[in-house]
Amino acid sequence: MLLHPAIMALLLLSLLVTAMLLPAALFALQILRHWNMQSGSARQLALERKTYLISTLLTWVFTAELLSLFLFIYSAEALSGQFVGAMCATGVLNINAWGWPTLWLKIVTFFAGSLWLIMNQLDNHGYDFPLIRQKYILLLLIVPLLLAGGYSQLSFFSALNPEVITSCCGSLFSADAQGVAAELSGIAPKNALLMLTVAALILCVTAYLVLKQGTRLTALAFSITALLFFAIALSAIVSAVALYIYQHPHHHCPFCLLKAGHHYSGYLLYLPLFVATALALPLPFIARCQAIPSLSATAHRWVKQLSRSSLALYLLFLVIVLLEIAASPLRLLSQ
Amino acid sequence: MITLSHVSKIYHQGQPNELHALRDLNLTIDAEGITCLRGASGSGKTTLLSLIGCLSRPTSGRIALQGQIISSFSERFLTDIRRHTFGFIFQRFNLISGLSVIDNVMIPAYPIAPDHDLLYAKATELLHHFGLATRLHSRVEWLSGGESQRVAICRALINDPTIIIADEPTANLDSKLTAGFLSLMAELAKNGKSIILSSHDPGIYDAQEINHLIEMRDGRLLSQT
Amino acid sequence: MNHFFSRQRYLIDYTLASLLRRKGKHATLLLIYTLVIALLASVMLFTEALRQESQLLLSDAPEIVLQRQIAGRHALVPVDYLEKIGTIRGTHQIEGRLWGYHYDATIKANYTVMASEEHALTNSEIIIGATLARSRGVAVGDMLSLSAADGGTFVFTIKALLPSTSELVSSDLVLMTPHALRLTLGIPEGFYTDVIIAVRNPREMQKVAAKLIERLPDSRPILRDEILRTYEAVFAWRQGVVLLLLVTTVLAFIIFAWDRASGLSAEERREIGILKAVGWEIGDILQMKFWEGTIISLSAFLTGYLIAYLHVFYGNASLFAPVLKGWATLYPDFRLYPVIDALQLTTLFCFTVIPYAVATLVPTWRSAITDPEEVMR
Ligand SMILES: Nc1ncnc2c1ncn2[C@@H]1O[C@H](COP(=O)(O)OP(=O)(O)OP(=O)(O)O)[C@@H](O)[C@H]1O
Ligand SMILES: [Mg+2]
Repeated sequence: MLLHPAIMALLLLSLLVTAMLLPAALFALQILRHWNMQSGSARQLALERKTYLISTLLTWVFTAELLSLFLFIYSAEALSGQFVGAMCATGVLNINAWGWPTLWLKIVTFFAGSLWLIMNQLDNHGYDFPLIRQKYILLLLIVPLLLAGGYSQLSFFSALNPEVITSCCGSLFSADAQGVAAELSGIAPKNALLMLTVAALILCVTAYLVLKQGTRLTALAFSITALLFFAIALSAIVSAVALYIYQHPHHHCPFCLLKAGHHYSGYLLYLPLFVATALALPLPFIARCQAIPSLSATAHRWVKQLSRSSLALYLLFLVIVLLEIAASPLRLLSQ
Repeated sequence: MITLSHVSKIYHQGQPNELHALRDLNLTIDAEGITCLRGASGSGKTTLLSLIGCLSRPTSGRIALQGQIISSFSERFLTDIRRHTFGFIFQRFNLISGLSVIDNVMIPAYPIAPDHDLLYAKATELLHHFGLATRLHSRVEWLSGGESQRVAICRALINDPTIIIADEPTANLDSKLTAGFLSLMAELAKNGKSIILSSHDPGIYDAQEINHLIEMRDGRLLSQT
Repeated sequence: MNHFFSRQRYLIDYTLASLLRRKGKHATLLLIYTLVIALLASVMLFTEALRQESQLLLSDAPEIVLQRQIAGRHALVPVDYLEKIGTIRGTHQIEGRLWGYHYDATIKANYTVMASEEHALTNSEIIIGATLARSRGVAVGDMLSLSAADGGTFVFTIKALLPSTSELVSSDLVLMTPHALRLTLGIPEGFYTDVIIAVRNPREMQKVAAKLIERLPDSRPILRDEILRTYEAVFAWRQGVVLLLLVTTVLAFIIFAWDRASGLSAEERREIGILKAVGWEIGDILQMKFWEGTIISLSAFLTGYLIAYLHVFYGNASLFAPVLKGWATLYPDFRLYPVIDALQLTTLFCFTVIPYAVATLVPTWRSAITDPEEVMR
């Protein structure tokens, strides 16, 4: 275990999150067993008041998780100086088997957390807590995810061995290597950008449908395209956009983008992409809530608002990609 | 129009000190004019007013406000209804000390977040109307009892409620101020507000301004006129 | 959206007014909060600055330093080693260095003495670091006597002082001609202290090092990158240890904050009850309390960080330099180069503000659920 301040901060966050999560999970069980909106009994009143505490608690939990996603990538970046072979976060994540799972769990948690928060916010607009059960069932599903994330992170840090010679982005994201990362890097930039364009077009079409009709089906279609677009966008960053930013035809790393040396352009790319996806994923669910009497008006409005903001952010992402490509002296498509 | 059917309120339910503050109450309050709740101490007047005013929820039974059943609303929505429908005047004026008169008057509107200039103008106008024009920026702890009462009335009116609830509003006033208070209420009633108040002061419940009288005993309705 | 913002503005207004009304209650908390942050931030800023400093120094250090070892100890390198190394592909400069430490009994400190051919020194001239000059009370043109290895004393004229851009190392430095150095430190002709080797491509460093050991089995090549890595680890570790020690402080503060937040006076309870009775909701109270926490945390964070910044970069970290620096006895009176980085800020935030927020969560909620009915009685 390394005694790095950022690592200590991450472990502290994970400890706090766990400490807040357990009462929340217990409360979720209580809700599922005893909730009865019709009753004015003391227990029901107490439960209702406790929902405020638990929502606040969970808002903090997910904020802390978001912070810890940043901090995790950031500290991996910062630790790269201490390991032979590591030049950026990729090298550090490669040190042992827990690095990448931790990162993925944190990303999934980010999406699950935003889903929960959006659901909670929507629920607050109904006078009879219409989503209370779904909300707390979802919470019970998220709890293991968060615990797994915490465990994975702990394992990652406690197995950080400075003796290990790790391999960094140069070898992981190279067309000659094996694995998903290598395959992504192997995609020709032209194809990757083509796929991104097609995905963007489909996204616009489904967004149009949602905005026009706002039905459950169109919302589902938009959500699925958004997820696909997310995946395609990530692979396009690795296989094409990164090359333009690094001005180097073979440097595929998704993390070096975040460095000051590249004007933090990674944040410009990732932030809209992640937020847009987080807004798009709850849509089918919200569309379904249009059928609930106490929520229908709000849900109807939200479907439009969320899909509009999500689309706007995706387009922003595309604009940034275009700007990066235009600003780079590297030319990959002309050959 | 407020309708209560089979409403009970039980404190400390299921515990040894269980207390039935209201028992199976059926009551319809016509919104017009001034309604007065009369009853001995402990008969459940305050409890009833807080149920009507959406400050708390009945243990069982239904309460309907203008045809809308509110007894199973969440606290968030009850508050929302309360903000727009009710204005409250308390026995102990319950002004927030340390704040100026005008701030105290504006406080109920904060969560609704109206335009600040409009709100300020409205509060000033109310205070002018109730003869407090010179005390706008005084701190509330320096006011006399009568003045405090009028600030509390202004505060109750800031969100344009349709119903004013006053729980023993004159317990801290002398008979002259009580008469003054009643005439203010009568004026409000003439302007279309409904007023529900509770009192065991004959100066109030025997006054001619009262349109309806409801008598209570031990959490039950005794008579309604 | 507009409604959301104007509502927050009202809540913030109210919060500010209520904070000002209860200055006394919040002052102690704010003071302690600020001090805790200042303490933690000082540690972080200081070690981070030291780390950067050492990195800066090493950035123009030679890629490989070759030492000779006899019986596991550092020994002088014979001149003919340079020939034995000969030419290795990828290296572009191989050079013997002369340097060593000199103990000065008058001020009980070690100097680092180095041979320099750049400054056109004569055998009786030296250049010294600014701190050294200060502690010996000498200036340019003055004489400085150093005891020699054979028991005699040499008197040098100080030709110049070293610029103090990076005083951490140069402060105790003495530069003299190779000849003078051999006499002072007692290094015989035909020997060097060590050999430096410049490597063109950093990727070939390991290969060059392997070849060196092959050709000179009693030598030990030290790679710059290795030192950098060790430094990184050591500084991070030191910072970690100190933070771990400070965890108790943070914990104490958190308990204090929790206690403060739960100990609501009757008057405050009544105020919340009134707010709820006149139309505020639990959510409004929670948001107001959120702003209260934010305002307190933000003021404490900014003030604390500012204090730490001044303490470290303008006050020479006088409070704990002795603990953290661990350098020679001769403490340089140096100015660290100010660095602020996002990772550090986030870490500090995680150590102070987040625990504070979590600790005050439950008490805040408790106060927010005060029954509005209470004020009617
Ligand atoms: N929060 C509470 N917990 C327990 N008992 C309560 C509570 N509130 C009220 N009660 C009880 O309920 C009964 C009715 O109280 P309520 O305040 O409604 O009477 P009231 O008619 O307003 O009396 P008064 O004229 O003295 O104000 C009383 O016996 C009181 O002690
Ligand atoms: Mg009463």
